[in-house]
Amino acid sequence: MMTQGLPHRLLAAAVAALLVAAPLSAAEGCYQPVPLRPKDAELIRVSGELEDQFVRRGDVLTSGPALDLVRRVGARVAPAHPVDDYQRFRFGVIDSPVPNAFALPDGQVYVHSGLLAILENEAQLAGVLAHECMHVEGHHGILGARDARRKVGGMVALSIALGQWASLVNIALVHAIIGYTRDLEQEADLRAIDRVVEAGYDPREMPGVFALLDLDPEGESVRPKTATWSDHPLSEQRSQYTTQVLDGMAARLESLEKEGKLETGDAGFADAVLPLARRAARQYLAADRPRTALVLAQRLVEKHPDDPADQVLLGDAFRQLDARPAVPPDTEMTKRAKRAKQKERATKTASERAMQRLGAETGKAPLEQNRAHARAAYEEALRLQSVHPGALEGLARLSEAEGLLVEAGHYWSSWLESAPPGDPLTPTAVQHLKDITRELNAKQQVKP
Amino acid sequence: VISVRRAVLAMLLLASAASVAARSWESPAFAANERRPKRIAILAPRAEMVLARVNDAVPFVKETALIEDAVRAEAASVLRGLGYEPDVESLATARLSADPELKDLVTKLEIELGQLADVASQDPRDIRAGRFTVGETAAPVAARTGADGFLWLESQSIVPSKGQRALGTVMLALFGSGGVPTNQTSIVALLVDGHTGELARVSSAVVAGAVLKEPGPIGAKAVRSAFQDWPSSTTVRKLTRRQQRAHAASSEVASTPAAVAEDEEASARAAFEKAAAAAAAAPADDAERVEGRDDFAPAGPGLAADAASPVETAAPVATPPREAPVPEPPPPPVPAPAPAPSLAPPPPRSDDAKASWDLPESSRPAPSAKLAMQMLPGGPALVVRNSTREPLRVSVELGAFATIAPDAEQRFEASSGSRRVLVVREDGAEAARVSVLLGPASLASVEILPAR
Repeated sequence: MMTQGLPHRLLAAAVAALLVAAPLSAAEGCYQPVPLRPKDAELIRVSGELEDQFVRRGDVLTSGPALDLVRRVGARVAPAHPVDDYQRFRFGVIDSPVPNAFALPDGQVYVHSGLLAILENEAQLAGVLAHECMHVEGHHGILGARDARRKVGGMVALSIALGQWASLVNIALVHAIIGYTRDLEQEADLRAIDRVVEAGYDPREMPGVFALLDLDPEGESVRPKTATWSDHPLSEQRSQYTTQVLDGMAARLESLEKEGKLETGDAGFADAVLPLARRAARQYLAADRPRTALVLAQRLVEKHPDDPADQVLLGDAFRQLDARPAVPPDTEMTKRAKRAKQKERATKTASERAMQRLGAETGKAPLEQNRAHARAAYEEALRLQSVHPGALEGLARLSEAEGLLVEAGHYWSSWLESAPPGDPLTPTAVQHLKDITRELNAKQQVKP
Repeated sequence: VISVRRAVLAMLLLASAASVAARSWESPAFAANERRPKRIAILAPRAEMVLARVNDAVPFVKETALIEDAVRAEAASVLRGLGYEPDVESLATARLSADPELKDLVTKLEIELGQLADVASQDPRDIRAGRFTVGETAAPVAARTGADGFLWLESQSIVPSKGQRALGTVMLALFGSGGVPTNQTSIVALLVDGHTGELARVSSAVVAGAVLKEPGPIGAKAVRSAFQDWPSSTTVRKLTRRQQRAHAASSEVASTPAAVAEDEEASARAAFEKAAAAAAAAPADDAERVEGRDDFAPAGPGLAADAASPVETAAPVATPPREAPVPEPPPPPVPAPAPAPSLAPPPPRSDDAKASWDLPESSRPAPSAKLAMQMLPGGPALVVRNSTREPLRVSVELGAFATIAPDAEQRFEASSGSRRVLVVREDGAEAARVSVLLGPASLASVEILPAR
């Protein structure tokens, strides 16, 4: 039986309007005890199981200075006495290059290694962790799930009643759910400011985090122009409203600063996250996102100009850029171009995309520049450390790409000289050397 | 934690896949058993399981662990039964946690494989044309584990709630569309050749069953279904003509062995030195090479700029290394023609190495000596030994000449990069010349030998 006709349409429109209007009344967290309903308890149970899963799958760091840092800062921003017994605050690091952080309703707070890699000091980390703590303290996960269940339940009932008009309700539903979540995000941002101050960190570092989160070196992120269809406020908005609040606190913050009660925590931060930053950059290279890797490598080189490992990372990023400009040109930044790039990633392999780039006339100039930069970085690494396997490998691969077989062979040969016995790259290096030799011999054979 | 969107997407995917219980695609090399991995290391499987309710979705976490364990064990068991050597230990999470270097290599492999899986899922038939490869990323993992193939397993299970089923029934009754959702578990298995990085086999399956009650057995059932037409380790499939054509086209794919013997490494280096010296003796090659480098205007010490000057020596011969025996090197390149005796009078003796080096080819005498080179660890430096019967004067990188008596040798310190070696006789006539590429830790042993 199909349900059609004016009354149904009016009903659908009315319900849709109601749902659209729902997020206009701002959602709020609850910072008092919240008794668990059966489905909330399920959420808490699943959260605990996820903690085990992260460990079992090796998704979390189990030791190291970065984990110690996160736990130390987390302990300063977490509430001393959680309001519910199912909340127990603990902090971890997820091994993922994606800059993100999240909290589970039972008090687990995680920050991704990729976010740690781009933060600049402890105060920024404190801002991130305080934001996540507020999600837990305000029971945002539980309230958000309750809200979504209620709205989806209503949607299902309406869908049955309205038949083909159900799609209208669907749109309104999505809007209503993400609107609720967005409000809670804003609440967490604003409440985190006070917590950061209480913990003795400078909250004026917080707006900078939003700018960092907004980085899109690849030029592939299609961002909405308004927050209407986003579950988070836009980064500019977040930066704007936090700055506004901080401006209102300026006198107090200055006074606290003079008393030495606010710190940014620069000392030791970069060293603690250094291995994660390098690992994140390597992961971006593996995922064929060399522009992001380049940004990370450039930051590392800026901080540690005398470290050959960072120079090699920089060289690798430039080398993998091949025919891509280091900064995406305007033509790549349109919504259509970004969508096209996303589609290409889904339908073409990395080598197919590379071949396409290398075959394009527009890629010649960036290719030359990137190769020159890569070579300079590798040579700088060799200047800093006369035998550096990573630099030799990079130069060997670069020379091969340029068709300089003899040069490439010498670098592979030097790599083999310097590599420790049993290095897993040895078979690859020997194979390259054999291939180069074969090609050189073949060239000699064909000569008159 | 809860994603309605993910649950809905998964349901749609499963619904579309449900019509096909199990499918598989193989590369021709795998089918023909020419390049078929035998020792297969199993990457940690990933499983997801979701209870899809009418108004939300809840992940099952504990159950996914059971599925992952069962999937790994069943895949190993099936492969063992087919005559393969499955390896469930080398890439286990605990092992990787204890070995950061291996973990980095495996993470890289998994990232690339994950991306490749997304593309391959669009048109898995292209595996027959060798379109899907992770290149050299697999080889270091193979070298570390001794495996020659890697198995990547991913499973998804959807458990519709009672409400969800009831809703499906109502929708079906009211509108005649949709259907009653049932438990479904899907699995995708990718086999990667550890030597070539090529995707050797893709298989997928969808099975029904009470996965919530029996996660392990259902996971195992999904594996058996996906592996049902997996050939035994010795089976050779007959290729269709199309497959044969594809196979012929992809048979040249670069293959990296899992390990190389020490003497193989030395042999490869010696063979390369020989080929490089021969190439250096060929002016045309040098011209091409210099042209290539000039385009890029590289920063730092130029390695090829010196090669602009053609080398007139006979092809240097790589001597065996001192520490390791060298097996028979590959066939030597076509030898350069023997130098014709020069009728032109020798140019006057000069102490200016640059002027001598810059002499046009037509003004130079035919080489009276040849240079044998060997790259050794140490340096960067050159050790030049005079094995002729006359004293010779040697200039390195156009520096001052040093006279080396017969059977004597002299060490020249040099920085890394391409370094010119000019050998002249006492009367000033050029005897030989060559450019040597010094690595940061290379000691070039250059022996001057009579041309005949």
